[in-house]
Amino acid sequence: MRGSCKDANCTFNLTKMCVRGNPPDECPHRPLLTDVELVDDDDERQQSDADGRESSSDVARLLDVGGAVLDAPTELPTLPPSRTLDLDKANAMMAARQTCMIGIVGLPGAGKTACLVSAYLLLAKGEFEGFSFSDSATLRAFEEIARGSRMWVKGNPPEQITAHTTLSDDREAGFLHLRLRRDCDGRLFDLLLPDLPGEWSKELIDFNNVARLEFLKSSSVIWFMVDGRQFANDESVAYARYRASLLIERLAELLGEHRPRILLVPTWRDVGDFPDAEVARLSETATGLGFEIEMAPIASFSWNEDVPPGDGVAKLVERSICPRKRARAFWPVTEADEDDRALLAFRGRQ
Amino acid sequence: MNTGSVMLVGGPGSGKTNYIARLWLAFKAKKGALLAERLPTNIQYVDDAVRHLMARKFAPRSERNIEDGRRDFVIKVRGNSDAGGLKQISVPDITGELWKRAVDTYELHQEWIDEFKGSSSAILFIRAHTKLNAQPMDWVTARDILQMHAETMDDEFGDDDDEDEEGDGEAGAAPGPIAAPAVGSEPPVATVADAPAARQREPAAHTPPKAPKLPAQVGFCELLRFLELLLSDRPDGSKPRVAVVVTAWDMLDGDAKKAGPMQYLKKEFPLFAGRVQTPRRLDIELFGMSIVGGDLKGKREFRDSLKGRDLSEVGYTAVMRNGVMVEDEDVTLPLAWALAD
Repeated sequence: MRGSCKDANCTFNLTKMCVRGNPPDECPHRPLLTDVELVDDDDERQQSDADGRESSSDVARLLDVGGAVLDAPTELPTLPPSRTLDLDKANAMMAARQTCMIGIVGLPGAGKTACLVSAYLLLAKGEFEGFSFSDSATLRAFEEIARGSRMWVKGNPPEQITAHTTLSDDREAGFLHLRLRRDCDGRLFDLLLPDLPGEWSKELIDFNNVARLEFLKSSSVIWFMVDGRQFANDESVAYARYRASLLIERLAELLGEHRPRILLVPTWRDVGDFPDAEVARLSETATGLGFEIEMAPIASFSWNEDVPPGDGVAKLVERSICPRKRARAFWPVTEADEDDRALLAFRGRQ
Repeated sequence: MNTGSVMLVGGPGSGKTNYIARLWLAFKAKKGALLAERLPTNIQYVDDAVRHLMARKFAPRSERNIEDGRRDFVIKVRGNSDAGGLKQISVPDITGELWKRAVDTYELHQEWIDEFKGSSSAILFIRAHTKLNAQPMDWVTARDILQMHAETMDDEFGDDDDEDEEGDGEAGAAPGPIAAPAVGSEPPVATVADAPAARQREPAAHTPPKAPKLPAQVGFCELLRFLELLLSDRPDGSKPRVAVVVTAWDMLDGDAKKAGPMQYLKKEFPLFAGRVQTPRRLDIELFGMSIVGGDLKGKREFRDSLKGRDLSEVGYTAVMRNGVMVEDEDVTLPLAWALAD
């Protein structure tokens, strides 16, 4: 049995690797320990204290062989970051003030993140029609997803602007927050928007994996994002339609009695218009399940000269916040009848 | 005697040190809303900055870091209309690097956190027209420009970062207008014949583009958020006060000056302008600031016009009064407002 290495140039004490290549138990730089030294530590220590000298094993102990060589760095206090909100924080916000929770579902590549990025970039340049930015508790989270939209490869637009969404915690949604000021009347609107991986919707379809999408029950409107390119292509339209209808059915089951408005959001409007026939088919499926579907096509980015980037995004947000007014009289006048209750009868005579 | 401290917040090169120097000259000349009756004990630190101003150069960026110790400018002042209230104010000069780091990493020394919690006033500095304010373009709001310049601009993009840093205080080149690359001046249309040659000249065509910096306005919003988190309510229970000061106000054109700081922020930094209009638990007021009335790094005639002059006579605070922007020669106004009882 040998003690710690005495060679100042050797890293054995820290790494257990001999720089000279000697077998550890035969290395001459490691002194042999006697049985007494091994067994009777206490006696030995007392003895060395009495002598005022330290033995080799004491040195080994002091060296703390195999232990940390540096002190742990002192960590600076950190201020709370403005990254995505977890469910608790989202709940707290909804409890504190009127907040519009928008559910966003759609298969991978449908353009969910791109839509959020587009809205953020328009707000950041003051080009968001009808609204301006007022505040956000998740500004850094927006910056993180928007990063790719500010880069480009030589001579060409980037092939994919937004990165595939992944979450550090794959069991709980992360929410983005926006507070918007409506330009016409200065009213403030708080929005909570989940940035979810498309796999969540995919697994909802394939495995009815509903647990982590429970929050959709609190949403007042759901953006049902579909990849406009697939619907514009004869090759892929049938499967895209099939998957979309499955997703609506799963949603209906997940939401129970709750029937929020559904905005059907075909992306990639710059590639082509969403076929009317497909709208009709999806509406039919949705109506059968008790949903009302409205169309809100967007082009988050655009490589088509005729379609401006961000087209439709402001309108999508506006329609989410302010539902279309129904053409019903607020207080319809009814014919009074002698048999009606007194107040109504009185009103009828005026 | 009342005491109060005003925290100066702003990124590197935003004008904090120059403001303190000019503030001191105003105190010394006994002009303005706040008056100093006697010299403060330690003036060495402000003196360094004043020396630069008197040599008709802006003071260089404060290179110190937290480990070098802090420098506070402590002075006893009295409001010029208030006979009784002598107040000791301390203005810690916090290096802009510390703020940059706080925005990038959210880390802030406990010493400063405590300092903020003990204060209820701050001045947030935003320098107009500097390349240090990153304003990156993107594929949504600037598609056409990016496509037009795609062949040539990606090399330039991202190089606007530290251009201003070295020459900041020295008599360097005149600062450029804005951070976004100057488009439209020289549309470099790549011809078909040029393209292969250009590609040959660029062997590193597959080099990934530089990651864009955090946009300046996001940094400003974050700083405001930190102030909201850290500053304490004022002694009378009212909201903490934050004066947002747009420095280098003289660099703006006539129309922008007339429109005032809010319009300037709306045009250049819409996110931050929106945030300022939603003050929540802060009381926010906007000011424009020109410490010497012009650009010391710009035209030589302006520098020459200052030769031998008392610098407390130049410079102004731009404030909105009765709906009209006025240039008040009192540069202590933001401080006086932030500290007012």
